[in-house]
Amino acid sequence: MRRAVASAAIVIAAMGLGRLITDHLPTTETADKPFFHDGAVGSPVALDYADVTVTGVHVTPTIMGNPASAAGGRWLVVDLELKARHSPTSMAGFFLVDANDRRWIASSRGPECATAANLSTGVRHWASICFDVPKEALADARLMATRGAWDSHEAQFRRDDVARVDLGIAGSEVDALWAQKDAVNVKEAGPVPPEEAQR
Amino acid sequence: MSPARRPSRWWIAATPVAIAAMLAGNGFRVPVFWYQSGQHHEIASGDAREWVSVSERTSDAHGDFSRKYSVRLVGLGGERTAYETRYDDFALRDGMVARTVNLDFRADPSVPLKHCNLTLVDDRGREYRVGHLFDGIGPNITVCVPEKTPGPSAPVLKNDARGSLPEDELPRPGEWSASPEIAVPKDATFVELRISFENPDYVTLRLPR
Amino acid sequence: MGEDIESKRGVLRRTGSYLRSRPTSQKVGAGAAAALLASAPFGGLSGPAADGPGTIVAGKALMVGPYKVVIDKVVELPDLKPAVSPEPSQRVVVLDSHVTLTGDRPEYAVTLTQNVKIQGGGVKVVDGPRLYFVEDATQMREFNPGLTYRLAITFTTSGPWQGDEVTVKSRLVEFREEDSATLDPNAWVARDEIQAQGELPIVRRS
Repeated sequence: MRRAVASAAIVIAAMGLGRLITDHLPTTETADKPFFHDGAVGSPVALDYADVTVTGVHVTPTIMGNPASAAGGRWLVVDLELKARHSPTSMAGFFLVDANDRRWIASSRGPECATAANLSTGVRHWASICFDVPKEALADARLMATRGAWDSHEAQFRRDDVARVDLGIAGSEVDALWAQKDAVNVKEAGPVPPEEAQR
Repeated sequence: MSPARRPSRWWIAATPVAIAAMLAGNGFRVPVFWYQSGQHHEIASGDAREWVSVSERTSDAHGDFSRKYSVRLVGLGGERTAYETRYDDFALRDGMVARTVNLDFRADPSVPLKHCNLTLVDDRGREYRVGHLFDGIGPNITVCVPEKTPGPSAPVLKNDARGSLPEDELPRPGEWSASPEIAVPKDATFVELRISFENPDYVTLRLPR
Repeated sequence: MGEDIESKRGVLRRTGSYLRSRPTSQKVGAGAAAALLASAPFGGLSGPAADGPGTIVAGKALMVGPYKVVIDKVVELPDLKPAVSPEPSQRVVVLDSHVTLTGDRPEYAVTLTQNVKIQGGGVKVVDGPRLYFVEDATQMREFNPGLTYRLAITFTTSGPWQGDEVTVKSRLVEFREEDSATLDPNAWVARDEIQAQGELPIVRRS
């Protein structure tokens, strides 16, 4: 009898310990979390598989084209320079994280706006990512760039390198950016730098 | 007083069974996420300047077949900075050049040899590729075959016959040369060329050191 | 055998006297429980009856998963250039709508397009729905929350719509913190169940 009580107590204690571990130790966080590499506009972020550089940030109601693309809120256009390091790489994860840790995804509506990039090793690739966002997304927005596309449970880039680039938008600048009316010309993505691109 | 019970030992036998069941249950990840998603199965290999005959087990809409061909790596040439993309020419920069890969092929005109991709591997393990669906630059259909007479495609639908060509297209010759270009660093030293039609299969052609 | 029957009778007798000796409050409670159990075959133990499909009315908000959709009117056109250019024999039925993604995270358009359909008119829907932003005729594939778009929800039909009404149906899309089918946590999952439907008048334009 004593023996049975002791075994029962051990089993219950083991289950309790298991529960404590899953509840209080960040197991899922360490198992699933990507590796973030922080950067700022203009300086390259070196990931395991590619170098990511944000070369420009624009806010506009209109992206030029025929027809021009209108934003539901405003377009936040992020110009990128990407280069695969060791082997050909496809990147499909480009999204924003704002000051409140909310996510905003890229739009495929603008005529030359990219949502993914196929990189040849060592060949620089230029692309502009266009986000149609409301005003609250702008302050402290950071661009995330990685291989797996964003989905609601962020499973496509677990344990992968992610570039996290601060776009340098201060909360005090948001009103002025929102009021801007100038249209932005987005150039075709590819191995040709935007200033030389035909389209 | 009853004699002391022997402690249960059934779990000793059950543990390896449980571990085996766990590995088997998760094991599908190895073929799906690793083996089939990259070049992991060398089906033939040889040195530059020698003919290598290849027979690759594959399948199309009608079932399994062998893709049979022979290939010879003649060598690498060229170092232009103008690179021909799918749409336009552009200038390579950052010390990159377009290196020509000179290949000779022999195959029956009925063998589907479109959509091959070529990878140059350098002495630091870096890979430079042309012809893959996910390659942003360069051609991706007629990398290994003559541009005007590329030969048949592998049938995707049951209605398509194996080896059939568009009406105005001549059959592929029995022997031909191909010289696709791959963008590579000018100063890189290459150790091998890989030819692949589909993962995980590839053919290795070793370059002289 | 005889002993068995004797003992059963004894049990019944003892149970009867036990029940009789209970206080009234316990008798009432037990009676209510028994009545509830007795009503079980007629639905006494099931939850409140599920509502039938809701009604889709022009100008009234409809929820399709996280999307708030207000259908303003339904229009039939020979084409909707430059967005939709069907064969000459075909037509385009457009739900002229305002769509807002609610909540606080982005969503792809498929969560909406896979769960709205039209029926009737003696024609088949051969393509769609697709979503086009009315301001610039570009196709919407991704949504960020908090923005309202006037969208043309387009269906390409095999021929001209017969009759004056279009049946619009939306499927039930529910938020699941855990879904055993997909193993995806916190996802919007479509159920094979009509959540709302309605007959909307169709306006023909050439």
